[in-house]
Amino acid sequence: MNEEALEKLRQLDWKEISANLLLAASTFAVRYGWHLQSALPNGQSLRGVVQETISDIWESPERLNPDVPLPVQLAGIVRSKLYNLAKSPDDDVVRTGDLPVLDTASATKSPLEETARLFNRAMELLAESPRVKGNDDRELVVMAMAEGALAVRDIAETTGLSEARIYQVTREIRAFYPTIGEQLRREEC
Amino acid sequence: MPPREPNMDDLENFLVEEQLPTADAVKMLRSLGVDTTAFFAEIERRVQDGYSGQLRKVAEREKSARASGATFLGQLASMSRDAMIDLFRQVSEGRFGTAYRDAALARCRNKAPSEFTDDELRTWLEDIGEILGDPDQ
Repeated sequence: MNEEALEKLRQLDWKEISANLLLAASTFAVRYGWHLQSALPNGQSLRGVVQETISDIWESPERLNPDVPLPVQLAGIVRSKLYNLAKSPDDDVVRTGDLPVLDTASATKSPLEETARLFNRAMELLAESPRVKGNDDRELVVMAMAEGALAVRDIAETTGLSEARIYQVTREIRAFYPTIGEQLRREEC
Repeated sequence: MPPREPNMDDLENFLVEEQLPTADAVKMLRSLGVDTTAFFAEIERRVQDGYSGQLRKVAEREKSARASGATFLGQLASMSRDAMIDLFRQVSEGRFGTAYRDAALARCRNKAPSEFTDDELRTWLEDIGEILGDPDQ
């Protein structure tokens, strides 16, 4: 990477990038029973994982794919780091409510089938949630998501809601998604 | 191939897809108990360290490329057309430093390197070596 490209990378809004990445990390962490205050294996924290990810990017910026948005690439790295931490043998870790990790591995089903099953159950739990039931827009969005519409444009097409409204509803769902994840983990134990 | 069934990764990706404006993201993080001041200070430090480290690497690469630059100019007489085009490409991408790169970009403003004749390529590379000489001096 030449000086010009490096300067361009430095000029990005790292405050916005890192804040959103930390929020994304907290969503990814739900399936492992972790939240922003959790002590992760190997003395890690979600903040530490995000900071480490940004250091990794700067260690080898030439590995960035110019065709993929940076936040997407960073989120992929964070997700992978969390997965590795969850698989690490550190037993001193206390997960939220001592619930088991939502592992997609299963003796009878392929990981893909299992994670698709978990997705369907998560959507059922969302649909049954008192935070969704009775709220027309949330119900519509969750129904569309359950049918596989996982892009704002697709949801807008299915529900007739404006994209701005869908973003707002998604933010609301995101805020209580940890409780759904916790319910899901409880069922899986 | 039938469409793939959505899974947990898809759900999470959708939920985190929207990049919130900094102020909104900060507000949310603070409400979740994050000391955003300390967090951002550490991020800023890492970005700055990473940037400085990469600039050092660029300088080292340019220095070492310049050292080999003197030898490539000596080999021009026996270079194949493909090798000269490749060399021109490296020069224009800045592998031998910005002075060489700027000269190459000025030269090929209206032409692709492959459009030059062998003589044109060789002459230009020789000239550029003579004009710029050893960039370290």
